[in-house]
This record gives sequence, structure tokens and C-alpha cells, in this order.
Amino acid sequence: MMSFVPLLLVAILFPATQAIQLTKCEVFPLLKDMSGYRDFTLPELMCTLFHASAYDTQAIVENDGSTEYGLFQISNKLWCRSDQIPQSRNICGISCDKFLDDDLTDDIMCAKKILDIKGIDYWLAHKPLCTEKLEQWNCEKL
Amino acid sequence: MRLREPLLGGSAAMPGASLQRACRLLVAVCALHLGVTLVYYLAGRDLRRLPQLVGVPTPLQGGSNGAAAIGQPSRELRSGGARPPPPLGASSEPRPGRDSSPDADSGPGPASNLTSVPLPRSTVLSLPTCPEESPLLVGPMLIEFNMPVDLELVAKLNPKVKVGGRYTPKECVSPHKVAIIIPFRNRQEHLKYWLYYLHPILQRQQLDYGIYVINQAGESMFNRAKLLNVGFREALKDYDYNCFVFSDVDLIPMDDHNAYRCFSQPRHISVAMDKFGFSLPYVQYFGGVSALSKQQFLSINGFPNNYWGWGGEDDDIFNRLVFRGMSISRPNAVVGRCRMIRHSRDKKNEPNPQRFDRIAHTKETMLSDGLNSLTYEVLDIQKYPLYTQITVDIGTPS
Repeated sequence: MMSFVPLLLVAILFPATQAIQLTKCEVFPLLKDMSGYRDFTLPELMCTLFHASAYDTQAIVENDGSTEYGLFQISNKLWCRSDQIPQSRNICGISCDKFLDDDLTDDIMCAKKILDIKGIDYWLAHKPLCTEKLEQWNCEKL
Repeated sequence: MRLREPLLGGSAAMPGASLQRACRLLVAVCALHLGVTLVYYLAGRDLRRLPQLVGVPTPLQGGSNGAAAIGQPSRELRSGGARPPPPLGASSEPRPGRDSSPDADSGPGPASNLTSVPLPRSTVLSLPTCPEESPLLVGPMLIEFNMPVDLELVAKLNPKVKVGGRYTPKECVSPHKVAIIIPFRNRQEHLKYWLYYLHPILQRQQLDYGIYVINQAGESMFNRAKLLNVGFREALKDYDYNCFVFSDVDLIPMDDHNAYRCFSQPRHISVAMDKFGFSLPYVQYFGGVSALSKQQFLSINGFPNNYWGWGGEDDDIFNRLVFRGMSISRPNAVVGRCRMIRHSRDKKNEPNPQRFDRIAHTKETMLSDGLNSLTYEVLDIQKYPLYTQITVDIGTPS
């Protein structure tokens, strides 16, 4: 009977480990810190991140031998450390899977570095999709 | 008159003669109204009788191929007694006068090749055009995905659907000849739900429709847009559809007022998906379920063939429409609610890393990438009771 208890606990916890897809208005306040950083507005960032990760803090996408992690889809090629690419420059000095939890402070720290060094075009979605009609990315609930 | 004499005195406490007359007039008008209503009711829904009764000639729809074949204006058929059913193979005459509505651009074209069915009621010879909004709609529906679906049972529940997933309304002539194209690979469970929910809805919407499941053969990356192009081509070999609904297999509308047919502008149907909190994720979003008329589709050279993997092709299509001067028509967010069958990401349909670069160049690529560059090989066509499945080899990323 006792052996069922851990199993039960795991079963209860399982739903908690599903992808956390945030809504626009949940993400909006979390990014306050980045508003105006390097002259990029919050709606621009909101648009870019939607197209990058659909606001899924646990998004993980692998392409052509590299992987992108989290809300900001930060790549292990250059910016963080992972087993897949041990030789990465790891500019943000952090393990990539730290970008898959709910705490966005490290994601934001690294995203700022990306904006400093590479610019907004790191996120390929920005140019084709996030240069016009930006009002829709505001969140009126605030 | 005698009864009224005592009352015609017109004293201060009693109503005067003029008021009496007014009341009588009112009763007379009501009686007339009731009489006319009764006549309408008895004449049934065949409203074309009424102009005849009143003596107004019914105008024929000019220029339609069918009219010449029938050769008889409706008024000649009204001459008393039972009439023989229309000969099989004659075209039905859609009711004229519907073209005033703005959305009628995709409406009745030439009434060609519509086979009219001999009707049991000998009083109605030609069918009227189906109304702008179907009277059969029920509104919001409960959509769930927790019960098993047996397609044999679904076929029994939808006996009017013919083999290959074809249905034509019998009570009226639909101006909407709709081919519903579903891009597909290894999603049989989702397809079962789709068929279970959509067939009743599409019939209630009084559409002349067919269901085409375009199944990608092989193990290459999934290419949704190319499959849709194939669907367009192949469906037209079956019937002269004038409208194409492109639907993902896992999206179910929650309100049958959300019309699965074409409008004067390209139509976005899945505007409020549960996955996106029942709202439009962004105004330029054109994914999920959409409808383009044959003309709209041809004017953008169809869809791109070079989007392998997930994402971007719907944004490319949006760009194409904008570059050809079109705009997106949508239902409101309440009627447009849709449920998506939750599922994990498919293998061989990972996000396409090239998608953002590609959508930045739609303006140039649309000229050479589309219907005019479409090549494929049909491997198999199966006509199941509820749908036609076309298995196709669409090649590999070049």
C-alpha cells in the first residue's frame, strides 16, 4: 500500500510539469524591467516573444544541432551552457535549462545581453512581424 | 345599425361616432392582415408563388447556362394542377434577386451543372436559393474530446452524406459549392472527431460541400500549405467548387453561425481558439481554418510550396492576400470560438527555422512559388463514406 503513496504524489505532480503557456497580460508585467531597453518598446518585445515561444516558459526547440530555450528562446550555440554544445561561449554564464523554469530574472538578464551584443534581430520574428500594428501587443488590463 | 344607435349619441361619458369608426377600421385592418398572413402560411415556403398571386412577373436570372436548358419561366409552370418533376439532369434555377447583398460575390454563379432531384411534392418544380442565413442553425454547441468515435456510427447519423463525404442540400439550392481541404498525416483520431462534429454543422449550414483529406505520404517534414494546394487542384477534378475551406484537422467550431463558406474577402474562420484564450493571437493571424473563393485563391497564385515544418505558411498567405489588395473578413470573437484537440508536437513537424526569413520575402516569392510551380504525385484516392482521402507524394525540401 505504501508504495502507492509516492506513485500518487508523482501522479499529482505530473500536471504541474506541463508547459506553462502564459497569456499576453501575464507576460506584460513580467517584462516591465525591459521596457525601453536599447530603445525597444514593450509591445515590440511582446510581439517578438509571442512569435518566438508563444509565451511558453518551457518552450524548447531544436534545429540543426542547436537548441533554443524558454520564453526568450535563447540559443545554446552562444549564450548558455548545455550538454549538446559543450564548446559554447556561454556569454550569459548560465546553464540553459535555467531558462525553462518560471523565474524569468535570469532569462531577462540574458536577453538584455543579447540586445546589447546582437540586437533585436537575434529574434528573427521581429523584422517581418513586429514592426507595425504594435498597439495590439499592449495589455489594457494594467 | 340599430344596435349602434343608442351609442351614437356622443355624450361626454361615451365615445363618439368618429372613434367608433376608427375602431371599426382598425378591426378591419387586423382582419385583413390576418387573412394575408393565412394566405402566406398556406402557400408554404414557396415564396415565388406570391408574385404570381399578386400578378408580378418573376424575372429570370439572365445569362445562366441553366435557364436556357430549362427554357420555362416559372410562371408558365403555375398553370394549375400537378406538375411533373423536373427532368433529371436539368439545371435548377436559383432564385433571382439575391445579388443585392454585399456578400453575394461568391454567390450564385451560372447555374450550371446542378442536377436537380425529382421532388416528392409536385407543387414545387424548381428549388429556391438557400437563404443568406440558414434557418437550421442551433448556435453554441458543446464540444468535447473525451469519448471514442465510431465512424460507422457517424455515417449512420449522417445518412444524407454521400460517399466521398459529399452533401448537397435538397430543400434549396446552395450558392456555396465548398470543398473542405484538410492537410493530414497520422492524425486519424483527430479526423474522427472532426467528421463527427463537422458533418452535422455543414449540413445545417446548407452548404453544397465535399470533404477532402490530403494525406502526405512518406516521412519528410510536413508541408501544410503544399498539401492545401494539392487539395485545391484535386477537388476541382471532382466538381466545380467555387469556394475552398482550408481546415486543420484538430479544430472544431463551437457555434454553427460561424459559416464555413466564402465571402467577398478572404475569410478567417478560427478567430477565437481556446488555445489562444478564445481571442485572436495577433491581427495578422490567418492560421487554423480559413476560406478563400476560387478567384481569391487564384489571384495569389495559391499557397507557397516551400514551407517545410511548422509555422510561417499562414503568415505567408496573409502577406499574399495583402499584396493583392485583399483584407481579412472574420466573424466576431463569440461566434468564432473554436476548440483545438490538444496534442503533443508531431514528429517531423518541428518549427521551421527558415520561416521568418521566408515571410520577409513573400512579395517576390509569391510570383514563382505557388500553383504555378506545384508538382506532386497522387498515390491513392479512397472514397470513404464520410470523406475522400487523397494520398500524395509532395516530395522533399529542395
